[in-house]
Amino acid sequence: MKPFIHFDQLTKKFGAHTAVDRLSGRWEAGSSVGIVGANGAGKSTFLRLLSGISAPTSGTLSSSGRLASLLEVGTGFHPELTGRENIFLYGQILGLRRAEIRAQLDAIADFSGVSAQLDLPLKHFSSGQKIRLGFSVAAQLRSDIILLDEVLGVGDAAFQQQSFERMQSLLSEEGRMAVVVSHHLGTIRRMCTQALWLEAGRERLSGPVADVLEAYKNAYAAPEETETLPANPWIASVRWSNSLVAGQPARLEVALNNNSPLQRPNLRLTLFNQHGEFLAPLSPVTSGLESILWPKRARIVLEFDRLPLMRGTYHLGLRLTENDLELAHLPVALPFAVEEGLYFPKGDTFAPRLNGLWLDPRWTVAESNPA
Amino acid sequence: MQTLRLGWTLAERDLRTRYAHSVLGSLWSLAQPLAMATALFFVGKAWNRTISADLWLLGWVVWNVFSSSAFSGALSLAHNRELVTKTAIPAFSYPLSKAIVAAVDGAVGLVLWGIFAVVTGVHANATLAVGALFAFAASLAGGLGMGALLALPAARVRDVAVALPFLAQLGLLLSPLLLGTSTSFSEHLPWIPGWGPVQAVLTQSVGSDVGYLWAAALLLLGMGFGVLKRWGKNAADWV
Repeated sequence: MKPFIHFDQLTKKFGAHTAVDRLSGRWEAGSSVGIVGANGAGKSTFLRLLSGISAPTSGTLSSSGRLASLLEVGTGFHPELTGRENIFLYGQILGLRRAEIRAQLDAIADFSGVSAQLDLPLKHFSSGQKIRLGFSVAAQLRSDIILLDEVLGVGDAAFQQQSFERMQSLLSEEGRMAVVVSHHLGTIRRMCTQALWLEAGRERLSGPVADVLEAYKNAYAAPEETETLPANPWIASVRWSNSLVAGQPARLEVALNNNSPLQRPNLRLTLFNQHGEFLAPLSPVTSGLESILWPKRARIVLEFDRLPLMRGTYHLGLRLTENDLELAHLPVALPFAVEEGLYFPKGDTFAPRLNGLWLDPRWTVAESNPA
Repeated sequence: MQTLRLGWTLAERDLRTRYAHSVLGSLWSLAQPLAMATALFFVGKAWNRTISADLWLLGWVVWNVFSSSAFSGALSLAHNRELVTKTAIPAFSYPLSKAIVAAVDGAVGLVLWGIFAVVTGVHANATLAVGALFAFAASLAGGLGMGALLALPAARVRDVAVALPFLAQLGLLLSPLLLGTSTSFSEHLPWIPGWGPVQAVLTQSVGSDVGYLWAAALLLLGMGFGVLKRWGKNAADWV
């Protein structure tokens, strides 16, 4: 029998709150389904029901085929075990057999890029290395149905691309099916053939991925919005303090709700274009401002002398860490729009295009020396 | 099969990491049963219980297999929150992993007892050895069953989790190990595995009530497995 997932009137309630509300559908092998929706729409709860981690309050769910869920990279990693031991532990937790892991050990180590450290305890790995190791194990999954929750956006940009390609290659094999939850619309667009848009636990729209994403984008792009109050206890607000015009000064302010000072803090902002595709990272640490301590109710300000964004709509993702431990992660912390303007004082030789970056390198032109 | 495999995986994790940063390392596996048996021997002497040291050791090993698998099994869901909420590991694997750890500890204790019995020659007989193995297995099965039965309540209501270590200590005090052999609870409550097997070992009479003990142990095991099979997925919402 070909792998499938069938669910009928699937409902999950937590007390009076209905997280998933009467969802029905059937997905067959060969399809990849992206699930989109705002924070709290019920995406992750729905995925947990499909994974069999949590039981529905009512409704029925059936599936055939070997199913693997990857809701978080590195769940179950133990800091006292070595990288090698953690590969076996995590692989088995994900459903791989010991012999399968042993056969793939070299591939896992190569993919992760931490081969030289495999016999060190995991506590000596950086957080980025742990993520790479976790994803490398998960990338060996050979299940008929793979459920992924925001795990393709981990690691640095190069690793994200590497892991994305790996997943695409896995899913291209015949008879596979994937269900992908992501705030990155670009990921959904590239990986999925269908999409389901959830709103307050209910199906708002489902169908071909392009149609659903277009409708979702139109509803949520909110081009005029320059401030948001994210639903996270650590973040008080994220806002631009002026209207945004390409090439003009701009000031972004992130206010935290921390009631005590933060030790070795870092704030990583990620800029995405209107399709949810990665454009650029921003972080005080990579910009040379490495702080030991941030004060209570810290206010972080980023100032641009000339905003290097072309006219269009964008959004910022945000990740706040203390001592490398994640305190807040908002994939869509602030959607915003940039108006057309002159980045270069003398005018542009290109017509401004949507969603791009203006770069201003130092140019020189000289005659080449003859070889 | 998957339940068993994952139970073993989690047990392996616990065993590998248990003595991290410890100077004596896995020597603690030997030191603990020896120290406990010695302490019980002197307590017994003070209470005028005339049981030899090797039987104290054996009794403690069997009791400990039951209590450890029952009580750490009961806390196994609550203590593995990250895995319970993020992975589809069958719920029974968690108490099973604790029972495997208890069985490994118990096996070390049994080997110690065997060496001790052979060296002293006091109780080196096949009947007792077979009885010990039966008691060990029944305690393990019953302890696993009880741990599985208590795992969901302990995940749901934290009072249960807080009270369990206290109950474990109380259980030892009430067990025939300290109450002696003639008027023990096991005569009145033979359905409580872990107490009865210890009684059987201590009296070296493994005949008459072994059937009851096995029936009780398997009943507990079946109930524990059934409860987690039926309601185990609720753990992800409760922990």
